[in-house]
Amino acid sequence: MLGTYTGKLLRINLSTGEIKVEDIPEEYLRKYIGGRGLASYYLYKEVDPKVDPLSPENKLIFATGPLTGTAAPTGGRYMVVTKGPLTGTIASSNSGGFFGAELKHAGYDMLIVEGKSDKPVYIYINDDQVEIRDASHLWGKGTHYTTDKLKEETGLSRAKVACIGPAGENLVKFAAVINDKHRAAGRTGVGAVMGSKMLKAVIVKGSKKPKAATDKFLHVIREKTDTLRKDSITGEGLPKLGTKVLDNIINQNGLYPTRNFQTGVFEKTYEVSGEALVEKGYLIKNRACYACPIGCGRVTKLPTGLEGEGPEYETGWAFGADCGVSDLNAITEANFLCNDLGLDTISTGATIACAMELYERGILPKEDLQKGPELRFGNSEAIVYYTYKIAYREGLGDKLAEGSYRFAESYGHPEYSMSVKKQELPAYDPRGVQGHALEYATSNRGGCHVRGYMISPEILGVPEKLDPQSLEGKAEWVKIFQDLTAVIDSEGLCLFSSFALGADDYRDLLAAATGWDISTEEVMKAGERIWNLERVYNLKAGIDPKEDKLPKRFLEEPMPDGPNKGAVVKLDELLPKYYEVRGWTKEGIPTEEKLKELGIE
Amino acid sequence: MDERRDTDRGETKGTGNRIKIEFFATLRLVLGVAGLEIEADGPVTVRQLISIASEKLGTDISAKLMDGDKIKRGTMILVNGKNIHHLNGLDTLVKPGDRVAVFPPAGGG
Ligand code: SF4
Repeated sequence: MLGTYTGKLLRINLSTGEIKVEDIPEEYLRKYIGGRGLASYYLYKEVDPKVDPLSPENKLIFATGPLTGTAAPTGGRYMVVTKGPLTGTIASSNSGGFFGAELKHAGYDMLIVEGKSDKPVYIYINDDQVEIRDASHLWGKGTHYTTDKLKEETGLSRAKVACIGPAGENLVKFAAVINDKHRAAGRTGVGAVMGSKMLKAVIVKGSKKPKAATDKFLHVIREKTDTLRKDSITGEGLPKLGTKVLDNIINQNGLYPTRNFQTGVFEKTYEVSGEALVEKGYLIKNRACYACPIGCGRVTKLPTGLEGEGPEYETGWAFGADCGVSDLNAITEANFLCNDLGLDTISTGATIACAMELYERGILPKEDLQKGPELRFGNSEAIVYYTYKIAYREGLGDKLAEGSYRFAESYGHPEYSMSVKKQELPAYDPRGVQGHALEYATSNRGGCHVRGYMISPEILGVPEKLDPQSLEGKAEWVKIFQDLTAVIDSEGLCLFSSFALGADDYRDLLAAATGWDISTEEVMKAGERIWNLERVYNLKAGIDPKEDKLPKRFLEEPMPDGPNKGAVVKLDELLPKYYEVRGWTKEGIPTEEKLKELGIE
Repeated sequence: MDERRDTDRGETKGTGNRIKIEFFATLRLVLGVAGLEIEADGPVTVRQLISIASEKLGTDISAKLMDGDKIKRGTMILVNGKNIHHLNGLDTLVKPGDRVAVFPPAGGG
């Protein structure tokens, strides 16, 4: 009946030690699909939007989708959903690897963690055997050590681990949850919420494979896998060069944010690009997440002997061009540090970049560096040094750990923080892409590129090429992309599959897995429902629609050079149109009718 | 090597009567060259440029970039940083001194 859902959630209260298993009503599943959607619904029902994100009243939800842990291509994704400490909005962070699939195999669609422990603990899940165990010996340790140690001491060598590093323990506002050592539920500070609950890790081992409701499932999987294999992006580009193929693309198109977004062309891209990684022989092999035929992950080894996964495009940019750094060794070292200390690479790099601009402008005084390396653009020593300091909240790191917005604000200049709703923007200068700029301004979890990746049509030409500077139809495109992304995140698939698959494909997979007679329209409606629910949560949390904005730089400072020279973002034209397309008031509030239509109480 | 560095520095022009073409991503790995320069006395179309480049390389790159007479979905050809989709497609004129960047279909994020 429930197909590839388990229909169960595991609820653990760390204050009382209570552990329960609950049924999930099928009605919720059909309305919110799973993963991001279902977890957002539980958060909406159970957590007061006004709650302090780092208080025991907040909850931390690990959620899989109906396709997580199945053989559906890219079906290894899970979400971490909570109220976020960086933005004060709903936070939801997606990750791959193997942890999500294992949680599903243990028999749970979701794990809801409540309350707060008074000493460090970890959660042990071996199918039906669930325990809260002491983690005092792991507190203060990195994610690599923690992962290995937990497998060793539980004797579950094939179990999967999601954990925090020192950054999460120290409540760094952009701390990540790291699973399988190298995969991150990176953004929005979900790791700090985990740290606030004194929860060091979750180790899980499962033995139950989900069973589809229809025999067609295998056939549909084969068909979609074939589409992904034959597509030139998912079948060739991503496997061969990984996400770093974008360095040159975005730079040549003139929107590669350089030195805290002061310009859109980085003169040293040739030294740090994906092509360089291959040509210099640093790339050892690809690595794929669970059930993924694409395999975009990179395993790299540097001349210094350092070996690990990454850097991905975003990370390479955040510590590279955004900080004006072209030393691939230092960039990769900072990347590996983030994984071990449990930090979001985008916010870490971008916060350091913001500090560099403040320093060069004379706003951040030298004595505040407390003898640390100079925060000058291009200083590769600085990116590694301050990454470490942030995780431990030492010296200037304590202030940087609050994120670029609060940091710049404390010096009286929040306008130098390149963030939306206090979360740092990723590696595309919005002045070069009007639709993507609108996506930044309206993202429900703050500055982010994976809530409606408009780079795909505006730059990459997929599914069709749109003029990046035109405003025509952009509001409509953004809405569709946002809704579709909510579907993908809720089904438990990877967003990268959407370079080759479309809404009908996601419907086919869901229908075959669950046995539901469901139309593409209903699936997209679920995506819209999820988007609106997140929006309502944010409004109730006190996030004013006036926060749907961009840093002044993008609206008032024309791009100084490159192909987009002279461009600014025309947000005042895009935003009213977007509210209209969404069926919201002109103030940006979902109307009664809209909520009724979507069935949101 | 040096040729690639010059253009990547963001210089928008080739030199003298030459058109500079650069290859990226898997195309660069397959061709084994980062780019080439083509001499031209006057403007040529992108279509012509592709066939001249194919001849020079000894490999027909048009099959990689074009679907019949159209640009392949996801293929990106930039003339001085502007996508030819929003110029004149394969009929876009390239002048001596211009810079052309060619990417096969690619994605990431
Ligand atoms: S495309 Fe990359 S990130 Fe996505 S599931 Fe596959 S390997 Fe993981």
